[in-house]
Amino acid sequence: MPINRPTADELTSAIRKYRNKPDPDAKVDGYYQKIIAHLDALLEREALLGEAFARGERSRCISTAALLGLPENDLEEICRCFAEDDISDMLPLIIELWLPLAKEKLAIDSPRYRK
Amino acid sequence: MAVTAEQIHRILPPLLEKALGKPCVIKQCRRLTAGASADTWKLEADCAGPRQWILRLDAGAEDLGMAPGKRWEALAQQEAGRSGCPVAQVVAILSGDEGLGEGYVMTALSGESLPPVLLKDHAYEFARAQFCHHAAAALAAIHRAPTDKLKGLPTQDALLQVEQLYAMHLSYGEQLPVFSLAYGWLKKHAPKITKPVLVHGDFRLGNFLLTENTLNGVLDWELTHLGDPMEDLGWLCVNAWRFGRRDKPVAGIASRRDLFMAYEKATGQPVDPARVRYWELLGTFKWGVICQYQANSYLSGHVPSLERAAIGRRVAETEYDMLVCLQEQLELSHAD
Repeated sequence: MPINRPTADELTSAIRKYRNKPDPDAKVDGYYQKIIAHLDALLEREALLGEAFARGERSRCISTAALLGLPENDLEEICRCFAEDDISDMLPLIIELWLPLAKEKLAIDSPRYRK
Repeated sequence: MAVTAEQIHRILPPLLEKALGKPCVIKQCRRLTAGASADTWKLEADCAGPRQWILRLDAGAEDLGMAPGKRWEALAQQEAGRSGCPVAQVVAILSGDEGLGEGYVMTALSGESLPPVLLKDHAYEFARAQFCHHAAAALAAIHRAPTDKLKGLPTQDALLQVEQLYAMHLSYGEQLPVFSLAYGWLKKHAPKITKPVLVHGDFRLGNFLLTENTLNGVLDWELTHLGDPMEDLGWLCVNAWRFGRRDKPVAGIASRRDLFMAYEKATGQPVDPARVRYWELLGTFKWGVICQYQANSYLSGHVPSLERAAIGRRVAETEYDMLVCLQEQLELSHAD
């Protein structure tokens, strides 16, 4: 469950592009300024929490691979296994593993979403 | 190439005269939105008296691969209207040969569609209290609409949609285990349709026109198809359409129980709650893929909009919701 795209670099570039050529309509520009403020805050949170999130993700991959008896613990293999529903009766344990990580990702991308 | 006001003034009046049998003059036309999938105009016309119409044209730019096209959209809306669903009356259908692309003209309805206003404004308190009753009556009319004139609509069962959406997801190249987990579960548990009915396909807050008293119009028929009636109930409960009111699953307004009771009363048919929950998860999965699609339209340079870039990060919301839906599915099956 990596951080979704656009990545931080791609978002920074998107903001820069808009700032270089803002919308001439003040009302429309006001709307985009709100989006920029939202994205600036998101990028700050990612700078703060992103590394811990990546470590958490790595540990989930290792635990999931062990749980499912997979020889590899990379995301591709885990996604293949999930997509084939090749998880026997492990779904509750898988949810237990990944739901806290989904919450960690929300803490970066949309912290008010669960409230 | 975008349609211009000049083209509308020139091309539309003879078509409207033919459809209505009266001389028509377009006095004013104003573009409302140049959206991703529809180019929408407001028309003020004189046709044996003043008229206010909406013109919806195929924007031609983007397609999730699930839309039947503007002509079939109009026909579905028309049939649903004849069955008693509150919709704008279709005045004329454009085949595409006229020079404006596929589209249709319909009457302009009054009402409010903005979710924050509908959810908070005191003026809509009565409409909110009656919402399940009115939404269920509209759904009952849609689902009983005769389908013999709608043969051009695709039949989209759960499995077809799940496969189509997962293929789209994979095409974006991100390895997201929650999407794969939801896909595997949805594929395994996909319900079969015994009798496909007309399905709106985007029946949610934001696509309703409410007055202070009633549901005055069901809008945006661009994802209409033939399928499982429970799909519309599930989509109405997807968390994204609760607009922050997680504890009120039906559009942020009511409980599932209230909706199911109202639907059963309106249709005389029992609701299958497990199947509605299935469609709720599929709907969340669909919304996640739509967010990815929109972000990808920015990343590929197709739509260079900052708004499109930002929506990519809303995928995290759908991943969380999919896991919660899966957890609830397990709890429900355990309770059985």
